[in-house]
Amino acid sequence: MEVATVVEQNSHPQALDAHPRLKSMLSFCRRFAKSKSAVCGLILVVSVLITAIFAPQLAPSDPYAINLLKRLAPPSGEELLGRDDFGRDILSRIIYGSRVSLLVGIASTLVALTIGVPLGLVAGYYGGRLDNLIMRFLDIMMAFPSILLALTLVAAFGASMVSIILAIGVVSVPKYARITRSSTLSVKSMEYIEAAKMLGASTFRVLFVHILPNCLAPIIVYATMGMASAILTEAGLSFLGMGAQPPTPSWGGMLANGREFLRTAPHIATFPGLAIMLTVLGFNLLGDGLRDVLDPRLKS
Amino acid sequence: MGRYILHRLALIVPIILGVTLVVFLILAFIPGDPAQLMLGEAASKEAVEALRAELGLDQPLLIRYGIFLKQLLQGNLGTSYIQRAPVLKLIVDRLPATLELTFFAMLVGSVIGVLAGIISATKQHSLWDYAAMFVSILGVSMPVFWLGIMLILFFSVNLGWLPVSGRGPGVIAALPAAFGGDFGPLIQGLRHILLPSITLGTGLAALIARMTRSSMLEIIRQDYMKTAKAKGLPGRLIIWKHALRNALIPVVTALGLQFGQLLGGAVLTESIFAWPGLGRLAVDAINARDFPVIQGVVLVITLGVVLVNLLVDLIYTVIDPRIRYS
Repeated sequence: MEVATVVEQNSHPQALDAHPRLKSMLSFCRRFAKSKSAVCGLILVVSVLITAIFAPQLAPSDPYAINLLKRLAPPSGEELLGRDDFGRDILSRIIYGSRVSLLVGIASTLVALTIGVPLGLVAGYYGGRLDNLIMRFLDIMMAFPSILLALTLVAAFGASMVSIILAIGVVSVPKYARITRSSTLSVKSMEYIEAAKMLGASTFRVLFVHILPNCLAPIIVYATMGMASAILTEAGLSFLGMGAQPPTPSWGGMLANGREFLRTAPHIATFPGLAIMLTVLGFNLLGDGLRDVLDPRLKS
Repeated sequence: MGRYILHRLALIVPIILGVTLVVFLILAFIPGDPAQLMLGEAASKEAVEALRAELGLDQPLLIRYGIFLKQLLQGNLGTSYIQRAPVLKLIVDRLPATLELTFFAMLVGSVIGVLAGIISATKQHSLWDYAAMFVSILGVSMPVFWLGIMLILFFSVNLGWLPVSGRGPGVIAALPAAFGGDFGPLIQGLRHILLPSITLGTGLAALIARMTRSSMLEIIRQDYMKTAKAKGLPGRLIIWKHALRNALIPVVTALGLQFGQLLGGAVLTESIFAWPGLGRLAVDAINARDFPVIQGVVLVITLGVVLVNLLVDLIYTVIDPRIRYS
């Protein structure tokens, strides 16, 4: 609420009239600041981003440093989250592990967007047979449970970072294509699209300059939540041993490792899971909030 | 109705073909020679060549796909590289465990989800509402495998109330004995399935709660609800009979669509609880690079998802009399 009032006071009506874009930005910020879930989500997501970027500065010790004397040490004042079976500092490993989760989450969403959005635009814009062909293909992809398909792809092409990102990205393509298609369908019959065509705009220009910007709201909302599910899938793959390979710290891998010490050192499995949950929660809350702010019609 | 079912059946044929093609292509492009994998590194070149010919691996891709489809129609999913047993048999042996787990997870998910959704909607903006919605977003954000481990830690390791892993005698297998008056195996089975089904069902419960809530809120504002109230019908009857039946339509769709995700989640849940189902079979096969088994499991699970989606479409007509297919 406070942010909203500050924005209102600072905004100068005359300046705003001249800048419709600035005006809509300000109105967006105002509505965003009012949404509790959007703000909470943003705080969580930004915290994880900062953790990932400044991991070397934030981590209290080297995440790879083995200290067998302190093997399975429980959380204490000295080591906040304790140590794992190699005596490595869990807090430092969680801090570095955020890099894998975010990298896979963001990169695989970008892969899915790069393939899915053009597919949806083309299907929605041209309609007819092409639309039918693309949609049936997407139906086939949607039939596969995503983690199972991702697992199979990673098993087939090796557990490297690139194949994990591609696998999770490809698996998520249908959702983005469908969302883009349905927005395209409603936008393409608008008058300004006709006007652009009359003025001689190329199909490419109509699709990407005139239609796409008006389909962005639901795509952004879905991409935010899509990152949450990509992070969960990556953690699942790592948990099953098909993610980032040891000794690289990844949250799913740390959790899988902690399973063996549930009786003696339950902290090893507990904290990485909390890290995953908070990160995913952040993206989900942000997505939820953005949906309310950007496009109230989407509220399900 | 009969024609509609036929029409829908005709529509899923291309999808099923497409699913088989995708699975076939992924496995066809895997680096490495299946014949070599089956025979091991020490096999002679001639033996490998002979097996390649026998498996049809020396044929062009299209013909291999044809052979694959033909074998599929005959119920032949190939032979496991590792266990040397027909893949179909391995799958049939494991299927009941997975179906049992998925069924109980759906039960947990839909009962908790629908109840939480109704409470949230009927007491909108109350503490109950906020609590239920917060827990539900937490539930969607929680990794299945972490929840499973935490449940094991609390209920099995610390309290010692429930078994850590395994299926026990199995709930369905224990039913005949229970009908005969011996409830021991049934209780054993239920004790084993409780934690895995909560683990797998929590995400679903969270999703269903949110859907039920928003769907109920929309229905409650409809005119016919006011009419029911004006007629003097008791509130409980209005909620349970007039509102819920209509509110559940989108929820049933979600349940059907989530079935696939649930089977996917079963892969993780089964490996946490050492549950002897398809998911564990798949993970073991993936770790051992046992490709025919991976192929078989992915195919069976995906075809299951396609059929369930069809079933959901048909169930619509029953729960929503407004939908009539000609």
